[in-house]
Amino acid sequence: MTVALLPAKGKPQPPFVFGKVDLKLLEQCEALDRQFEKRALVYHDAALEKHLASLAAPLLPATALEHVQWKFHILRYPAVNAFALPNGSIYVDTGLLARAENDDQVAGTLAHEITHVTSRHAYLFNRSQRTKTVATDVGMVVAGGLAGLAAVYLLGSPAGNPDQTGITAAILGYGRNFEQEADRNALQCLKQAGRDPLQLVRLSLIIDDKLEPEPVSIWKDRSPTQDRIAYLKAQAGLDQDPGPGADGGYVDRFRAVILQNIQLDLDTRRFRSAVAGAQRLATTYPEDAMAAYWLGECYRSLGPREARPTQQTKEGQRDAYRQTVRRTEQEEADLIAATPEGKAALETNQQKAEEFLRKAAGFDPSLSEPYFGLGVLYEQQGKNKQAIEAYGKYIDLCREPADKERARRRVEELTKISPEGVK
Amino acid sequence: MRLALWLSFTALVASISVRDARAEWPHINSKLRSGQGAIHKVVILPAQVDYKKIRFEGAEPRTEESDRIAGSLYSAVSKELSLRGVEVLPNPLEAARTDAERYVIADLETRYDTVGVQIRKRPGLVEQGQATLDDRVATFAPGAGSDTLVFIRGNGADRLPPVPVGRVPFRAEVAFVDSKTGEVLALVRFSSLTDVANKTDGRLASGFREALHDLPLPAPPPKK
Repeated sequence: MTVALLPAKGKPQPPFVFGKVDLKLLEQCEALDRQFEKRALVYHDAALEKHLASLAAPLLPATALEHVQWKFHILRYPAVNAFALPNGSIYVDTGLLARAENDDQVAGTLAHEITHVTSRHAYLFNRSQRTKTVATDVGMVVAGGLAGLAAVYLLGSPAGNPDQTGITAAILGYGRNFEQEADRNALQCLKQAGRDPLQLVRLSLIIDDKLEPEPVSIWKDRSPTQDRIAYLKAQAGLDQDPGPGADGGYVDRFRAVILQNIQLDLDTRRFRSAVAGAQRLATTYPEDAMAAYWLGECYRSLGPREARPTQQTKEGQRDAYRQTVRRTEQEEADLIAATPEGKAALETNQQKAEEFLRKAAGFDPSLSEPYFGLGVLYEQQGKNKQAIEAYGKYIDLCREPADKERARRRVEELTKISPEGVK
Repeated sequence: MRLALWLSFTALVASISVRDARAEWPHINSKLRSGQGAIHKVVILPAQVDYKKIRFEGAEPRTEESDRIAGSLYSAVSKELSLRGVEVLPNPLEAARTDAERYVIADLETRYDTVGVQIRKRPGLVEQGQATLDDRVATFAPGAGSDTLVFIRGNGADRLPPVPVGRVPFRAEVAFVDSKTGEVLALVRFSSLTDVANKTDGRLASGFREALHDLPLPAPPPKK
């Protein structure tokens, strides 16, 4: 079972021989593919899947690889990420597609992921991780005798995170060497395919521009993405950041994905990302009712938060992440709204929400959604009479009985508080 | 005297370790306790389980076992709720015909997971009525005829050698959410002290039965 690898840097590589451990990993990947499908995480759109495959086609190796069947999927997940399983299944998250600016950036991502597959990074990482773990366990037992054995037995292996397997590395990222090899090869492939390799650098800058609180490393001053940007720029011979590469055609093509991702962002409390996605749609389609509605809805959900993260220090970022994890959505909003900055942001965001929701209703008077958004907004502002009116309009326009019922319940609750508001 | 104390302590430890399942104290929303809310008709969302195999050379995610345990957990929850007089409506995933219908289910699961992070850390939020998925759950079409949505999560590991102290092989949580307001009405958690990947059904059912014991449901708990 041997196969010749795609030469990543032009030099020939030894053939890859599959062992029992590799075949087991392959089996797990097939199972993971099925699980993604079963949990409805894969976004199905034949035209977009075909488009991704056409972007990838010139980047694929000329010869077939053993145990690799190329498949390109969109994963309904709001993280700005993409990953490849060693069986050739490449997943691009809706979060990445919603933030990428053009096809060259998506092609760069695909070229990077294809290299992970062709260079068999998942298998190599898995083998090395297993060896390291066993070696550390044996070392503990030899050095510590019975105490060492007990420690490994009761506390688990000291060789770092036990979750760090071939699959998790494939999803979350490998070590620096593998990532650099993938970037180097991606730049080369993009050039050969007639695409702009600088767009891969640009995409890395977009990924590094984090809108949401994330865990921050205590040990490192630079994030892995910042290391990656420096490496990519050195490889591309750049001393400045490449400028924006916005493409209206791209937004047109991925409009449905961007919309899906806005909903996912809102469901996972990624309000700033939701606003950014909706803003992009509203800028591309300035007179589109749905685009205006989503932007209004996203500003309303943003509440007292700033549209850009304000924490610049590492401690501040760590604290912001901890607060998000520990507090409920309402608790977090109340806490921020109690600060002068929070109050000011709340006022601005509510004004913008009202402006865009009213615009949406004006663009398409038959659209019911903006009225529900306005109802919730007025309710949050304590303007119960206006809220009841907006819900009333929503009930008139809405066709779904469950949606009508939800609005009626809200009206009932408000009427208990403010009887004069009854329509 | 000392011998008697020692013997009773040993007996207590032995009785705990031979039991397959263990339930934690349930977290019940005051609305449910006071009768303002009720659990009569439920829609159970597909269970999600994360199961791993841990050996000396590291951990491996076990997707097949995870799916199998998820199926058993779903059946156990469904059966035990029926025994307590709760009407269980059809599995929404089986009824879903289009991608859009399946996405709606997945989005609701995501929404629960977002709230689940906080209630796992601070289950007291459920008792105070501060954990909510928002009234958008009311628009979830498969939940139309129900008063409660049920979310099931589980995680565990098959370790070799098995670790008897400190690590529980399998933990599960079941959350009951008001299908109109989105408020979390109750959170019950239980664990299985023995392998659930092979002999699943009975162990999970007994754990859940015990966890449900104090929950106000239409029928009283069966006598032991």
